[in-house]
Amino acid sequence: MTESELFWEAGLDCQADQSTARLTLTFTNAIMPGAQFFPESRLNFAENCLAHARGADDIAIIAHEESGGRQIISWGQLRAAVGNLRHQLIRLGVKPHDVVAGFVSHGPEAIIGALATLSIGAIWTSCSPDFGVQGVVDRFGQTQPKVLIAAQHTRYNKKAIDLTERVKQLLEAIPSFTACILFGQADPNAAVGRAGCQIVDWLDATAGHHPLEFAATSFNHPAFILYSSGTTGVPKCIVHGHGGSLIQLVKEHRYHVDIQPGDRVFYFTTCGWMMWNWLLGTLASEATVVTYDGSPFTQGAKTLWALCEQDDWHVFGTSAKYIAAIEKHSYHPGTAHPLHSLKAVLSTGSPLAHESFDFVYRHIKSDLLLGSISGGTDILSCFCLSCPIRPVHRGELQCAGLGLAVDVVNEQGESVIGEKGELVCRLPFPVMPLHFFGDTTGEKYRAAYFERFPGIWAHGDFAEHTEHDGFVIYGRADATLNPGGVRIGTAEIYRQVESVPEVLESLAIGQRTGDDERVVLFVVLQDALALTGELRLRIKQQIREHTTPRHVPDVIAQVPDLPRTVSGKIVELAVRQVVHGETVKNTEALANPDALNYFKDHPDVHL
Amino acid sequence: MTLHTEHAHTDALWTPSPTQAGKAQITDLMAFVNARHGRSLHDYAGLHRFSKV
Repeated sequence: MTESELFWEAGLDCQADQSTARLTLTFTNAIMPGAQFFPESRLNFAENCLAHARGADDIAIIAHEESGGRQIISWGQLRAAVGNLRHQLIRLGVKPHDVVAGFVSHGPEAIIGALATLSIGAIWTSCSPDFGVQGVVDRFGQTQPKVLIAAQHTRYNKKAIDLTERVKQLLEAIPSFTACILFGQADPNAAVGRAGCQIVDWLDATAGHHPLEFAATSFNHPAFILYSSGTTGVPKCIVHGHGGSLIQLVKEHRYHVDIQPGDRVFYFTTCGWMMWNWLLGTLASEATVVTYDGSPFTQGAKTLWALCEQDDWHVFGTSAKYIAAIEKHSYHPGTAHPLHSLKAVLSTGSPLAHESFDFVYRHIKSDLLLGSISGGTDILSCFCLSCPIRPVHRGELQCAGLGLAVDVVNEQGESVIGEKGELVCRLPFPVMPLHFFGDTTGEKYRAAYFERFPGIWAHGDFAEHTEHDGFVIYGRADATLNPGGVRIGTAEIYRQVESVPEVLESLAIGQRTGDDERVVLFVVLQDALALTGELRLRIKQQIREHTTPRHVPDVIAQVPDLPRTVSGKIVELAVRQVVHGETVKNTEALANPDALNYFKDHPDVHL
Repeated sequence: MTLHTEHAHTDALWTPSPTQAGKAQITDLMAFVNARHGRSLHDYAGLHRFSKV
């Protein structure tokens, strides 16, 4: 065995519940792609999440709805519901390798649905209701799913949303569905059915006293299908295995965030983002999962913090955008709420600005682990993240994850420290996707990660390895600006622009001007403010003073809104295409494709 | 085992106290690896080097 394998083995053996992992470790090929970790081992993700020492009366899930509803689910109830739903899924014909799709709000049903599916050795895939029917069909439709688990109703920002019609359209559009299990104010009269598709009520599907059993799945047995953002074409279906996702997540939760049994772990996410799978995995560390379904601002900036106080959360996970938003609201959670139990705040989605680090320590809590964490759907986890035994430095992710040969390289592929370059992983790791669904030759897989540097994983983050052995992420490599041949990460500019009080959000692109390019910055302003000459100057001054003259945009233009993906990320690539008069390939990937119109022939951007 | 908190720079926004670092599960892991494999890892950088190759 190599030390890497010894490490993974130690990581699990060090824990008391090693027996449930059922790992016998052997290792084969150490070349990417194609490396196989532990091909002889047997372990089931769901078994590790459920069959451990937590007592039947201990709390497994605290589920909040934005309407104020709060549901407490014990480990006993969770295990029973999973056992019963497992039985029902088998009755509906679900076998190992079949796909069960969840069109689900973020609550207990999604967790129960995923664990029941995994217990059979079937594959779980989910989308959140905000994806829109075509977005969901683009994703699920590629995977030949057999059973749909669907919410019939959800709420967002005080608005009740009836999903019946969307469920009906999904069942019509995807002929492989032979059954649908419906929850959430299910109306038995709602005609969602079609010929050849059985409709089952959630309450019936989870009733009974069926035993909880687990298929002895192999390490590389498929567990989850997730989707690439789809901004460059139809979303890719990324398949992750039981073993890789389990040991990677357990490693992050226990060793990088120090989640202990009984800790209450909250992450603001939806079932359409990989952070949902990340949160699900905390059950294997015997944590209590806290879910919240709805808008995080329903009751203003205090919405989530009031719950954090009420439930005594230990970990508060969110996005950098959310932290920036409460900062803009001048809301100080630490003043408004005693946050005694809170020991970690995690942020991801986009780089956490330096100023937000100060905000968290000043206005949330001075003694906690602030983890700016970064990875992605491709690895269902993180490359760079927090470390409970290292100091936190402003603007930096504390470390590369254990077991990951993360490095930053220049254009020639040489390691660089203190210089910007591309984030890579030099050696194979267990949570590499098994394959892309439908990519029989593996060509798409190789193109996605191994085209840039042969044999080395690169998925397109522009980053720096710092002198503290930490990391800074500067944005997506394909959004990197290149004026006069200097590579600039967009996050370097956003951080400065968004510290100007009038600016809510910004987006920067490089616009071709003959052989060179110029930096064009779009800003969304507070309320109905107009972009004056004075404000333009102030923005430029802020950027010039804190970065370099190269970073200063040639053009600043105002827009009412920015295009974003369904998981909330702004899409620089699509704006770049619109500005250059090119066709945007897949607007279905966007939550608000109409926003692209604001960038078409923008008078301030005309060359 | 003695745990060395790395890079005790004054510019750090937060540094784990020796008690916090000592109680962290990653410290148990380091001790476990040292005992099982005869190492003397004492900081994150060492544990990371062990873990990745």
